Amino acid sequence: MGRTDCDVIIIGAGLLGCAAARALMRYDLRIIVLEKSSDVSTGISKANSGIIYAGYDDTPGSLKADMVVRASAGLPDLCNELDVHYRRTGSIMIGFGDRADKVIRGKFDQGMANKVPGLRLISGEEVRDREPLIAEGVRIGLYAPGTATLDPWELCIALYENAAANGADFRFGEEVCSVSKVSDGFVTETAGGTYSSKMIINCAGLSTDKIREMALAPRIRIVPNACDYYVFGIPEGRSPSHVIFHEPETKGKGLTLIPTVRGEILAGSTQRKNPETEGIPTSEEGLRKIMDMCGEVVPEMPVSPVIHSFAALRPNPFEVQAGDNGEFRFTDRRLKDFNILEEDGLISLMGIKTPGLTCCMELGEYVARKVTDHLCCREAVNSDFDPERRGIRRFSDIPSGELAAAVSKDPYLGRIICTCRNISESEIREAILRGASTLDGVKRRTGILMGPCQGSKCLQQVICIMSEVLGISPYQIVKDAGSSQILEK
Amino acid sequence: MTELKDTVHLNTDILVAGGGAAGMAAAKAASEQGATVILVEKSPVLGGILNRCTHPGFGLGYYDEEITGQEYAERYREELGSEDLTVLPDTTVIAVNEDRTALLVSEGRITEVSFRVLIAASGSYEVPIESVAPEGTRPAGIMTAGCAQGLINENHLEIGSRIIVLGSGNVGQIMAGQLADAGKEIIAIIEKNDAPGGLSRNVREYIKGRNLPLILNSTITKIHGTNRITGVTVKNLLTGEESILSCDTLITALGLIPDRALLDNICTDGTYPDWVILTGNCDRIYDFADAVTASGEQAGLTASLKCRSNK
Ligand SMILES: Cc1cc2nc3c(=O)[nH]c(=O)nc-3n(C[C@H](O)[C@H](O)[C@H](O)COP(=O)(O)OP(=O)(O)OC[C@H]3O[C@@H](n4cnc5c(N)ncnc54)[C@H](O)[C@@H]3O)c2cc1C
Ligand SMILES: Cc1cc2nc3c(=O)[nH]c(=O)nc-3n(C[C@H](O)[C@H](O)[C@H](O)COP(=O)(O)OP(=O)(O)OC[C@H]3O[C@@H](n4cnc5c(N)ncnc54)[C@H](O)[C@@H]3O)c2cc1C
Repeated sequence: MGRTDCDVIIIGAGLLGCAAARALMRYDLRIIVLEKSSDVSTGISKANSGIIYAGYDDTPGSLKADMVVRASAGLPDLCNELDVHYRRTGSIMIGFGDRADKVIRGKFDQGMANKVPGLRLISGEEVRDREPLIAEGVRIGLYAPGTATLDPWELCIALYENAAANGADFRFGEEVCSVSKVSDGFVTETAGGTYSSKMIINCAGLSTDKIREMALAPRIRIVPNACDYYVFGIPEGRSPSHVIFHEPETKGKGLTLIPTVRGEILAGSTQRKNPETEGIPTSEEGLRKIMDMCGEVVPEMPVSPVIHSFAALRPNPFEVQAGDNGEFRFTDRRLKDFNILEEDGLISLMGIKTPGLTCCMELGEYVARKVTDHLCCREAVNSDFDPERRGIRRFSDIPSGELAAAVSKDPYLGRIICTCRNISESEIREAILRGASTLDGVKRRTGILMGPCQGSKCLQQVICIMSEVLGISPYQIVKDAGSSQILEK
Repeated sequence: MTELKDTVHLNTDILVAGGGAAGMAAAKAASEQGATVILVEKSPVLGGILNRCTHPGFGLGYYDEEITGQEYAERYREELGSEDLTVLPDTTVIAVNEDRTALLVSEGRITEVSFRVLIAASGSYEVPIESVAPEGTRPAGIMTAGCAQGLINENHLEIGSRIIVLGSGNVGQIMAGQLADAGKEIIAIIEKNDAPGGLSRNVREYIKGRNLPLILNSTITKIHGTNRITGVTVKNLLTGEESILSCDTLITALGLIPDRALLDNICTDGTYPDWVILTGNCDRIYDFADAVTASGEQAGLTASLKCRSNK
């Protein structure tokens, strides 16, 4: 087995790995991204709230606060460049009692210090004017016009496609199992190959601690906890149009309601311990809590039909202390800020929780600055870099005046597979041509199987199309991973 | 394929959206009354759900003999063949507008139809697993009964071998029976009520006739497995007792919901303009195809009367 050389190895193709790859492709560098799954955006980046935060949650002076306001303002342009759906909803944080009142006023002050544009404290009355579904008795609101939502996997896929189009070399199914420091850089091993690079960017999400500790002594441990989400298919007009953050009267997480770019309401997010990191199960207790909170906060909002429920893992970073006898002590000191460790050419993005999605490009550029400093190559720009990427043309996005011409050119565009959302066969084929090899990959690239019928009308056809285009037997089609066959003999 | 860069415009008295049992009957009845009719069907062949039903139990009302769903569709298609109406297969109605126009899409072509009355015969979709909201994961190996039926009967594929069916209505029973006949192990049919749902003749034929294990007063509260499903937690709703049953496939047969996605643009608070007539499963869920045919015929008649009175 030969050894592959490059300048920088990125481990992990989630939002951060893909954003870092894109940022680095602005320079004349050879970048390889190693991802253990068969696709991008299969970790934290596929299951989160999808909110572009305005920036009042973060302590002034922190790295988060420094990045988030700028990142939030830059997202419309980024989404434009990358052809990603972006919905500026604005947000209202609401409170019903003394505790929430105090918290919300505190957030307002913090937001002012962070220079969040347009931030305003509003009365309970104005809250109900803007969102009549909010329960009576709401006392105060914090209105942030800049808050927005997007589908995180759509952004991740766009970053990946653009980075790859500019020359980043993505390798899937490559789980890093060893990292070692050598004199002129690092040697990284996977089951399939050996790579040597001058630097490593560790963006392995929940596994950043494991990756880092392959080469260095422990400093930060990731201890995940889980949360649950519901997706409701509520008709517009009967659901909120802003992102709603409910600040409860007791300590803990309140309800968050998120109008998605696809017109659904995402409801989250609870908090519970969870030891499992693969195929995270939802909990009855968490799901029930969301329903209860909906009844309290938006009693008139219908909580059906439920389109989907899922669980997510938060990568909580905890400090590790070195003991006297060379041992390490895992503390319960949870680190609040983004933690970016730079250690002699190994850069680890550890425990990047909210607002990591919002700041993904800021973080990517931050990494690129560190890399170009380390390699002294700031001047070596890639003059061919093209920041633009076009998404898969969606039938439902084509203006009616252009439909006839578009359909006459592309026969598959005239075959509607999903009648819930008017998704055509052309989109499914294009998703596969762009690299989707699993059912979930097709789903995330096209939105198919995500509508009210959850695929009961079209799964049969999707399986047939995948089998034909991928040139494999229907029995080889998997949902998301190696042994998740959809059909079994 | 002909290349058409411009939208094609058509006019008709009655536009029938959906060519299952209901849509075929509506188109036939309206056309017999002298109305001009366009019948639009997304699939290549008319028949809808009928085309994936290989089991007998159809036609006793309409044809006076018991035949399979596929045969029922076949016969009705023949009857329709002698009518003077326009059938557009492989064509989907993607939107209906307030000005009584509808946008149709087919390979290479966009058609705008102006009509006087719309018959919505778009059938139904199946209640998703999330209506039960079991905790746990969502691995591969979970699918709705109708989807399984299509894959097995239309594509001749297999779906799994150790099967749990959730819901004991007609659809659940028929699927369980068919899978048992194909040599698959039915681990259980799980039903939340204290008796199996569905028609008594189906209970006799499928559950009793094939001795399928039925678990009453119970539901699924958790799904297990990360890649492919490995089992479910079954909870007895009377005693609260829970137990885990292993399986490699979960088929949900939780009922059907009228599919009115194509009417989204013209829906205000769940009601539709008076030039829209709902029929078949798009109106409400029927047990018998024969009754769906009758409902379609009625819709066709009503529609042609409306056209006449509007002239
Ligand atoms: C519940 C929740 C809600 C959130 N909501 C928001 C929000 O609303 N707004 C916001 O701005 N941010 C939000 N965030 C934060 C945001 O989602 C994360 O910051 C971001 O997705 C992190 O991306 P990542 O690339 O670090 O991780 P991941 O997406 O997990 O990527 C890591 C990748 O590394 C791969 N990998 C792991 N180990 C190896 C190995 N050994 N070899 C090769 N590859 C490996 C994994 O397969 C994975 O693809 C939320 C986070 C959570 C948990
Ligand atoms: C598993 C199962 C077993 C059954 N067993 C029996 C039985 O034993 N005996 C019996 O009598 N009955 C049985 N039935 C009931 C009966 O077959 C159905 O109720 C009946 O066929 C429904 O007819 P329909 O026309 O309303 O709907 P469908 O058959 O669903 O037809 C709707 C049609 O509309 C088309 N369509 C939808 N949207 C669009 C659009 N936007 N544009 C164009 N076309 C569109 C679809 O492609 C479809 O062809 C069974 C049903 C099921 C599901």
